[in-house]
Amino acid sequence: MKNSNLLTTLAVIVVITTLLTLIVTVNKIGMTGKATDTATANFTINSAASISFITNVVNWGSGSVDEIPTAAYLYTNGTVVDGTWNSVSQGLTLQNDGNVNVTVSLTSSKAAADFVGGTNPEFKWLVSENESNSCSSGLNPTSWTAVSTGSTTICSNMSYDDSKDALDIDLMVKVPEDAIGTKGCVITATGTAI
Amino acid sequence: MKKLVVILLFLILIQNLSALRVIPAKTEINFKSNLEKDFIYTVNHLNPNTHFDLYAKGDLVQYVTLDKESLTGGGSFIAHLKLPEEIEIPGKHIIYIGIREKVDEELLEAPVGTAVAIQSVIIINVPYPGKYVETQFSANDANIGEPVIFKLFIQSRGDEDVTVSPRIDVFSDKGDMINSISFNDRNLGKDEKLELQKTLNTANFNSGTYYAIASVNYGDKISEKNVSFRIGELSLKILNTSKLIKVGGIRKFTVQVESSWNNKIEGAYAKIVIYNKSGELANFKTVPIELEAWEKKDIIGFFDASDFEPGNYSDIVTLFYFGGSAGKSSVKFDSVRFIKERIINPYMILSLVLGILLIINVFLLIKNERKKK
Repeated sequence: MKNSNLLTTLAVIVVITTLLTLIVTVNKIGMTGKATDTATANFTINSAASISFITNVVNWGSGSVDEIPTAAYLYTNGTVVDGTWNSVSQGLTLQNDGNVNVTVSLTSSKAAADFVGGTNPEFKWLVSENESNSCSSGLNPTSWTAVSTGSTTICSNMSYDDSKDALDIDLMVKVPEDAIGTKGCVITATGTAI
Repeated sequence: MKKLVVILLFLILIQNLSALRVIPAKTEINFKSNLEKDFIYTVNHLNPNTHFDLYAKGDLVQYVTLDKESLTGGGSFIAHLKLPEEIEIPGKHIIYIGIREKVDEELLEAPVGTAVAIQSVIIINVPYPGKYVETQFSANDANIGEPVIFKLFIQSRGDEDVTVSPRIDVFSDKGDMINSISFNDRNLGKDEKLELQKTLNTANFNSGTYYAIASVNYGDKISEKNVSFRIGELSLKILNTSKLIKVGGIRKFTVQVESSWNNKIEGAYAKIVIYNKSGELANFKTVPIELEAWEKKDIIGFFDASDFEPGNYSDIVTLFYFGGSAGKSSVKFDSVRFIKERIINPYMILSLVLGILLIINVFLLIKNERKKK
């Protein structure tokens, strides 16, 4: 019973103190002549198209074709056949960073002959989903296909949803034994808003 | 002669991360004679030194001029649109405003890499002569008893006002009409749009796939769109089970399942019994898994196949699963064949190779002797 009384007294003190504080505050800021203002907050969310290569390096280093075969094969799945290059276990990964779905196409600055050189070189790519359902329209190509300097649509509808917005582009190069020199090319991904 | 060593350096890399962002991604306008409009584009990139080429393409590109040809690191530019008095072809015309990362030609001879480009789109809707309506239609998946919401978007694309009479017909996957939903007639002015919504009560529906056709009648024309949607129930279908297993050792048993539920299914596991005439030989449980709505997945369990002999066995797969507070189970009776594991004998292979080599050797010796003679 004593405890109950003590709590009631404390509660009353707290309420009175709060009321006094409120009165002092109102007195300070004044109430007379105050009109009601209405503020409207407006904002617009712009549509933004954005893509990036989150994995943008494929580096097999330097190497040579083995003694017996006439060519070596370099893949971005960690395989190097008949050659002394470093293995590369990851291809390029493209991500949709925007807030709209995009159509994605690829072009290469060089095809096999210019990129690799030598007799019967090959330069191929294939596309897969890094995150499931990143491309609702279906991917192309899904098997090793010669890289083209023309535009290749790899996905007509790439999602921007964070959990499903990444595609992998794997590469394969056949290096003939008579190819030599430092090689390079640029792969360009174009994202078109849909 | 010793083969020449061919040295080749392959590098596909980029000077920096290539995140390119363009705002706005798309803009849509309705055609107006001699319309002039500026579209301001903002370009962001992580590297302030990256150069970009700007370009425009598309079937109305002759009516667009860009105030800049290139940008460095980002910034903004204006695409000025000046439409003609008339465009003959009605419908959707798209102009692409492109921002392409510029490749340094000198780098092409050295390690080179990736680049990105973005194409923002300007959609120009040229009205069709007379009355013309475009529709968009959507429906959501649901569980039995939950509402399926149909959303119907109607846009007048003609140069005349139009009265539309929309209707939605719902069909089973066998093509039987189940329900018909009507809307009030509505008037749409030129370029005017309308979004309508109706709810389908699914209390008396069975689970399965359905489709709906939205028909928008206007004058003597009709615009139709169809969608499919699924009505689910808490159910896991067993699609397939392991059919061929090797005897001996610890072996894997796979149960492929598919959810017919529009929510997550939790704690799904299978109890598997394998038996024959002589009795039960294995009785085990799989690891529990979770399935997202309508997901197809494998449930995997392991068992000791040491006591099995090659031959046919029967199996009983009982699935247990939970959706929300409800738990269910289902059973499938099937058969599985156990086969003997083929072990490759290395001595046999070695003997074969030695035999072949011996034959070749004898053949060469005989040939050599004949030559000498």
